[in-house]
Amino acid sequence: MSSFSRFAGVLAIATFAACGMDPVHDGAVAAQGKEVTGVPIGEFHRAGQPCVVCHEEHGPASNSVFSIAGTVFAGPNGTVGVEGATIQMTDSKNSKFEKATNCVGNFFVKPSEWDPAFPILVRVAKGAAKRSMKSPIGREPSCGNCHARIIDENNQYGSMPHVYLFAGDDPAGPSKNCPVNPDLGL
Amino acid sequence: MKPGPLAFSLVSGAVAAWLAVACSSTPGSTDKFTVTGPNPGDFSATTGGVGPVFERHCGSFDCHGNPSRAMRIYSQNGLRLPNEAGILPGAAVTTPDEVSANYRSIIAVEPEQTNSVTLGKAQPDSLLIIKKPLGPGPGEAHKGGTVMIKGDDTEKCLTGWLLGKVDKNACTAAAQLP
Repeated sequence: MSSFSRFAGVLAIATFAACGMDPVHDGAVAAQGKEVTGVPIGEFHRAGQPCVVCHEEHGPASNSVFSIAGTVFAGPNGTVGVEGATIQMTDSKNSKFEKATNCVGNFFVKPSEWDPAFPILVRVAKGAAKRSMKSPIGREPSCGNCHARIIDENNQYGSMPHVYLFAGDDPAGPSKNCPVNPDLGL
Repeated sequence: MKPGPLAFSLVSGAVAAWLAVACSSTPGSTDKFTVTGPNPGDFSATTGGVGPVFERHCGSFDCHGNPSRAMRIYSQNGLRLPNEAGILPGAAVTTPDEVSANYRSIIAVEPEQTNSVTLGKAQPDSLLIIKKPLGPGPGEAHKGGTVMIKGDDTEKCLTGWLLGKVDKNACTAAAQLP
């Protein structure tokens, strides 16, 4: 084999490998940590985390891509998920879509259900309780990327607290029939 | 003894390096460029100001309300300028320091071209701050997509400001959420 052929081969392999890597995205996936023991992978897992880090075209959950996803908690303190909250969304073309949260407060929208044209406006409601976002979502599909579960000196100027609907607990209380504990205990 | 090819290469490299350093010396005091930006008073006005329009349309955390992005925008419901007063996202209204930082950030996108527009030597639609929000077609590719349409209140507000004839009613309307 000529040296040119060898060089071309190495270059082709290096190019292929480099194009398949995204260290920033890989880091974001790794930062989500491991699954919680006792919570199977599925609609109830990883409440409060930025879902679309993994549930996107190039993510490890690319077999289940979401266009929007997140978690609604009861109050600003504590991490008890709200069941049956409605996420009311309107996109820039005035297309509207609603989705309800499951028993841990998670919700997710697949592109086959609704593929919004960003920016979008969002309101969360359950019964008489309603909260609207005061700014549009520009293009971020994961609530958890801007609404952090933990606010500290590293993100205090650039993150909002987790999404919550009530001033305190959900008057209806946490779900009693949930297959996993709706209280993350954080 | 005649110098070999290695010595010749080393000497040539050293000369080239010296010339590179010598030719990139510090600019003199006369090399300063002063930007005449659009009216900062119209930008910071509490009624019909231009600043709230940028905050509303550009300043969410996932767009320009992010320290890693160009044209960084601070706002009440987005990124906050680090401060010692404990002002965090969602709290107090946008502070004067944040408004000032936003103005500088917007001008700094294209200082020379902004200067040309302000002085009437170029049109507002030559600027990225107009082309980007218009998106592909009438404007330019923008990761945040099309967030402004020609003739809408946002476009009237921004172009009016750049031309020195700000439309406060358009700015007020553009700063509101629908």
